[in-house]
Amino acid sequence: MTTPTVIITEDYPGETRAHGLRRLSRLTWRATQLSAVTAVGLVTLFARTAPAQTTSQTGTTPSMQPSTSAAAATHAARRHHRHAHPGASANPQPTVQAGQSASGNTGASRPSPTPTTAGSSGGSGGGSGGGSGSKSASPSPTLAPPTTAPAPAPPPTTAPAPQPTHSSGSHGGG
Amino acid sequence: MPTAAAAVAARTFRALGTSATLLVTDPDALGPAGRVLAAELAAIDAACSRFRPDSELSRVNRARGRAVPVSALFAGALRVALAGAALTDGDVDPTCGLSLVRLGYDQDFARARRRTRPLRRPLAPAGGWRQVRLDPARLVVTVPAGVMLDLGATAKALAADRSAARVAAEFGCGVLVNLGGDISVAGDPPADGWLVGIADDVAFDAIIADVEPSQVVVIRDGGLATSSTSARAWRRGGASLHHIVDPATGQSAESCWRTVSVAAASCVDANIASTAAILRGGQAPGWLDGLRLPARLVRHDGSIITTGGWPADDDAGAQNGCPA
Repeated sequence: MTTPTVIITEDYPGETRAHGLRRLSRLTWRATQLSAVTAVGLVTLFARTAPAQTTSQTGTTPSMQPSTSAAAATHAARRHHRHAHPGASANPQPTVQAGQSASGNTGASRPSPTPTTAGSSGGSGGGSGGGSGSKSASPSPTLAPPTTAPAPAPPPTTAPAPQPTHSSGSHGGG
Repeated sequence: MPTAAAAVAARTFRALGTSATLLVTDPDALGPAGRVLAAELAAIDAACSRFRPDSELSRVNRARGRAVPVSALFAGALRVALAGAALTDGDVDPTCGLSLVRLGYDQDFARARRRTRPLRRPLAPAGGWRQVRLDPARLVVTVPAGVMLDLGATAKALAADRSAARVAAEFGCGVLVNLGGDISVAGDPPADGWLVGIADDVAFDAIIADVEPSQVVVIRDGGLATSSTSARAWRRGGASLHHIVDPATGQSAESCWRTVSVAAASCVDANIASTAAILRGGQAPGWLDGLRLPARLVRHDGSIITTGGWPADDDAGAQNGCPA
């Protein structure tokens, strides 16, 4: 009596093929599921980020990418500014480079960005002769004394004296 | 050639939260010169006001550390303020904006002083001026987050200097501009010079025409400024406060001087020196003498000392600085 061998599962080609097909089918299904989940995730991500970026450019909501939007805004503003000040640097580099420290004498001694009245101020120096005509429109403070120190008021005469202007220390905090 | 005193014409109006006075030696120039001054003050206000949300200063203060493009005028005002801080080792610090806000000076002074409730928020020391970045070539300013600029004092003095120089240049006459005690003169002065009354203890809302000056001096060039702890003063709870801030503490400065007046080559110089003198207390007379700056310092008891050739009052006190 012969006993049927039970080597079929191992060696039977038809069963092996069917098993492989089932595995392939499962893998394909899982790949399809993964693709679908990925697609849904990407759609969700774009749906959320697209409005946020638009809002950040208007400056009303904190941006998810602050450095990018800030650089763009600064760049745009500087481009606009250059139109108003043709004398400004024409360097097209969009990012702002750190300026030199304003502390110490370095910042104070650097030539100032000349305001629009600089030309007329120069005229003052030449045209007014003495007095304080040498002052520029945006002078660099040096804590220098005046050319002539304050003098006592002249003694009263019979002629009507001009009304003095008052210095009473209400400045500050403007 | 100096002009006769009788030819001086004057005009006064409100600007920058205080009174602006213009004197010119050519009466025919008064009208157009007044328009030049008004335009200059409007420009400074638009650039440097802490109380206008649309000002460049407010925009910089809101930037939270981002670089901000600014006008040449604002850059110039900030440069002057930072140079003032450097010249005084930070005593006159333009980053005291938050200090003033915490002290209750967070709106125009005429309104701020009406509030008397006790302050609830902690003091905010200043001292951030070294972190402020100004690129004068690109006209870009960067202020660290948490730092708030206030250019009130130096910007007003700068406005006086700019206005006086511009009026003198455009109209060829002598001019005096007085912005709430910050005085700048340019051009040829009147024959007898410009008479300036020095008032020691004037309330914010005093009518200047009614003020009796403690002393009258004559200046011919440069600028003259007076800093005082009593003019812009207010109360919150039981505390007496004023607008000159000690950057180290964020508190109104405790000084032995009630009022300091300084004459200098420009109003900006005079303003920086007078403000620093309030903060330096007993060290101020020596410091001012070393700079050869004419100054008049008034103690709280009314006694006076002078430096640098400032003419003495008849009732001048002992010349030995602050009491201990």
